[in-house]
Amino acid sequence: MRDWDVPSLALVIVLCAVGVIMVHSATAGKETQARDMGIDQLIRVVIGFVLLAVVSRLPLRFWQIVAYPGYAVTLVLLAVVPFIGRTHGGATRWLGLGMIEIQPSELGKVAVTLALALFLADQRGRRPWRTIGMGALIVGIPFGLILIEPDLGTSLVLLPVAVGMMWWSGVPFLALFSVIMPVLSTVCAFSLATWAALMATVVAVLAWARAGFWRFVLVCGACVATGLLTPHGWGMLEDYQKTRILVFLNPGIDPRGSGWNVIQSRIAIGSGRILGKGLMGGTQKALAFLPAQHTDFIFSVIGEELGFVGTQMVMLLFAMLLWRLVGIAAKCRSRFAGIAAIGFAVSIATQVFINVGMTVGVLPVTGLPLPFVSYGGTHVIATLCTIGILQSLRRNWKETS
Amino acid sequence: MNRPIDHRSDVRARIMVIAGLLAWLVIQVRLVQIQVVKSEDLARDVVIDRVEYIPAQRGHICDRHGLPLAISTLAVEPQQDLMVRGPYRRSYPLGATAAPVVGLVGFSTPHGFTGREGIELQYEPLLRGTEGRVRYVITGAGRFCSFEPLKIDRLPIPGTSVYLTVDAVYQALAQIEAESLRVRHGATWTGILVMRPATGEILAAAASPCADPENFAPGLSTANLLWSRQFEPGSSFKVVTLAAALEGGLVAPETMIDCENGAWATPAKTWHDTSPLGIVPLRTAVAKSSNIAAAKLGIAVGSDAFVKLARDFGFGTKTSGHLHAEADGYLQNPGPHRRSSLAAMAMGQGLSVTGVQLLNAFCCIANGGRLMQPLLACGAEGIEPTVVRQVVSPTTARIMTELLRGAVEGGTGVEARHPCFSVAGKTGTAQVAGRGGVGYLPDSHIASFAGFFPVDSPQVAILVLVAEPRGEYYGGRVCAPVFKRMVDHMIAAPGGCLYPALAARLSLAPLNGWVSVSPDVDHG
Repeated sequence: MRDWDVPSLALVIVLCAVGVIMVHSATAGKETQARDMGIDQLIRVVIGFVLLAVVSRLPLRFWQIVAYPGYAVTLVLLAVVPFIGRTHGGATRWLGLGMIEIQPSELGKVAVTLALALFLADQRGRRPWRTIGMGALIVGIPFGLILIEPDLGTSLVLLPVAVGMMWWSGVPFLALFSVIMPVLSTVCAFSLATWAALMATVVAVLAWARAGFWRFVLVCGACVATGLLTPHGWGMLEDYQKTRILVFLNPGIDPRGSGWNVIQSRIAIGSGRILGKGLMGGTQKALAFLPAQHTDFIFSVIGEELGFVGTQMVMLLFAMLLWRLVGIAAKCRSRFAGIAAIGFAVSIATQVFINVGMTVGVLPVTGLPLPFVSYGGTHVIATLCTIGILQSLRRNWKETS
Repeated sequence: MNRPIDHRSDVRARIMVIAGLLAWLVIQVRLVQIQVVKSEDLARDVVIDRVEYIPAQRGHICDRHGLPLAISTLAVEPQQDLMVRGPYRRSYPLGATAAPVVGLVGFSTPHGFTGREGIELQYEPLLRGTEGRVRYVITGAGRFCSFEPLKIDRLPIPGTSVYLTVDAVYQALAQIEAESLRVRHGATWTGILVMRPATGEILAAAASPCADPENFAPGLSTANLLWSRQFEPGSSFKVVTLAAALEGGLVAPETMIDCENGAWATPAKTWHDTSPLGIVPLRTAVAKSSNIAAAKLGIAVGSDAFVKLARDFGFGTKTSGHLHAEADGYLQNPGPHRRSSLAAMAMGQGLSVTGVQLLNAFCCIANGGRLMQPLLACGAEGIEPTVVRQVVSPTTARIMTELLRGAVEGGTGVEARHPCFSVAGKTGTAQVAGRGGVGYLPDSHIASFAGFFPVDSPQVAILVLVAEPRGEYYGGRVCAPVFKRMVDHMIAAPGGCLYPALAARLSLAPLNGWVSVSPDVDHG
């Protein structure tokens, strides 16, 4: 047992069990669903755990060797998806391999994390701009390829992952800050108040860090420029993306369209109250009010059927798991292992935040699954493999590469 | 090399954990907000069953031949969604032509149409049918219906069709005449009523102005002026005076009456005749429509007997329960001491009637003194003619018919004469009371002609009314010719219900198409 990090594994098992139960509850005995998907989910979780066990036995050296080639293969897969991929729900994200379909973007998250970790491990914080630039390139290519699938959710996950890994690897605060802020400015420009707050933060932080004059001018200028460019970029977004962002800002505008999800999800969670309506007892769910309830909106089923207690339990499970994963990252002696571990942790944390945030209506609908819990093939297996890799990294934590 | 991360790794790890914690807190705050604070409101928004009604197809309104005057048609291809909304459209194939008898519907409830005027309103319970019910699911906030298959609780039961006694052919002829009459004389309103004396059936009730239900404009109404408007009838009301005097045995057609050479001074008022007469038989006084003779007869009869008979004829109360917006008319007993009031009433002033009351009184005379209930509509099972009462004896009725025939043959109604039929009728030229009932307006008159034909066995009674014509205003000049035109039209319209009867009396073989029955028609 010394080879395993038992607490994190136990938490993952509990989360996966919750997922299987909730997927079962969301799909069993319903006219609109052909079958009980809880069984499917259980099969995938079992496959995932087998792969997790296999992957965790691999040596640290393996991941270093495989990082760049894996990254290259992933890029190729992502590049061919638009041409030979299968389309579901308006997005071409899947590659068919006979009976099974895989999502290269799920592999992409793992491959990018490993490649970036390998690259950052060699950087010693001497030339931060070069580090940031190369890192941005490593993340940027798959980011772009995933974005055009379109899979906004998955591509967005890559950004915090990259930032977190760079931060962990020792990229100076001010350099990272100077790069992140103009990007954030783009997002915040949709609301004048938010954007003003962001600019105030930028100025305050730069002053506090005693930034030089030129840095001050450049960063502020970049923030203003990206903030002004946003309205232009807005015109280039897909209609459904525009709709989603607009609906996020005001769910009432198109209640039967995209806002439907947000409103129904909130009603479902809210109506669960403290103790919930009990498993299989959700009414919103039972009448198919909730779209994608066994995949992206599984959290609202938890909220409706298990209530506040249920959502708190799940949030607590994720918090404990992530705490444990950060602990693993901190213990690794190898820079590569540590940076990769934090990358996986941030990836899971970001997905949880985006998914739950979307479900409770604090973030736009982006179509991202809840790790371990949502119904899904590639996603469940890839996330469990991630945990397997983390186990492998931890097992070799004394190695320094 | 033993330190994997740089020297500030502890700080960096802490900052990352703090950042994660902040994000975690954002979610937690939101969860508390939704599931604890606002959960009451949101719980109210969960699905509930909704009941919605499917409108039933409204019954048709048809004329006596089954010709549709108002029909409900599917407005769109029936779809599941729209089925709830009600895809029916109410259309009126004859438009404004039949509007005075049919009325119109309003778009009121989500259940569909509701009758607003006329038969559409009076027969609402029959026409509406029973709406169906559908159950579906909607959020408590009333936002959306579900996409689940609709559960139909009860199918709608279509409304029953209503059949009118109206003959669409005669209605169209009458309405065209009424419209052109109003335009020709610049009148405020006109009306032409056609009834069948033996049964009381209303064959046509044309009134102008009338709203077009297909192009409904606010402010206009389809209310039929022939029973919704009351007016002072003038000389045509003298039939009541005459009937009272004859029934009381006070006079006979040959009784000589002093018409005072056109001016009769009484203590209260001096009465005038349009065409002065000396001492003439009653027959002549009626033919020439002497006011003085009518006044003397009225006074001789006495107020109680006069008013009683007028009430027996149906004046002063609604004739029927199913004419929309029917007015009562105004008929007050002046008492034994107000002789001038009684005299005025005897010549048709100082009281008010509706068109249907007036013509029904003429029908009563044509029908041997039996007053019939005016009929306009019935359900599919039909309706029996109803005798209200025997008002005057058959003998009185026969004498009156003879006198009224005289009024047409050689009196004020001469322009209603017809070469093929003998016509009995009476003209009327009433003054219009000023606002508030004070005095009479100088140049405002209501011209009327009411009559029936053929005299020996009356088939049709027709009333022509023109309110406030400009220029010519005598009933004999304005209305009597229209009566004749209506007779012409009716005997020349093979589609009409009376055509076989009328054609048989003319010894004409029923033909397909228009027949010329008199030299007048050819160029008339």
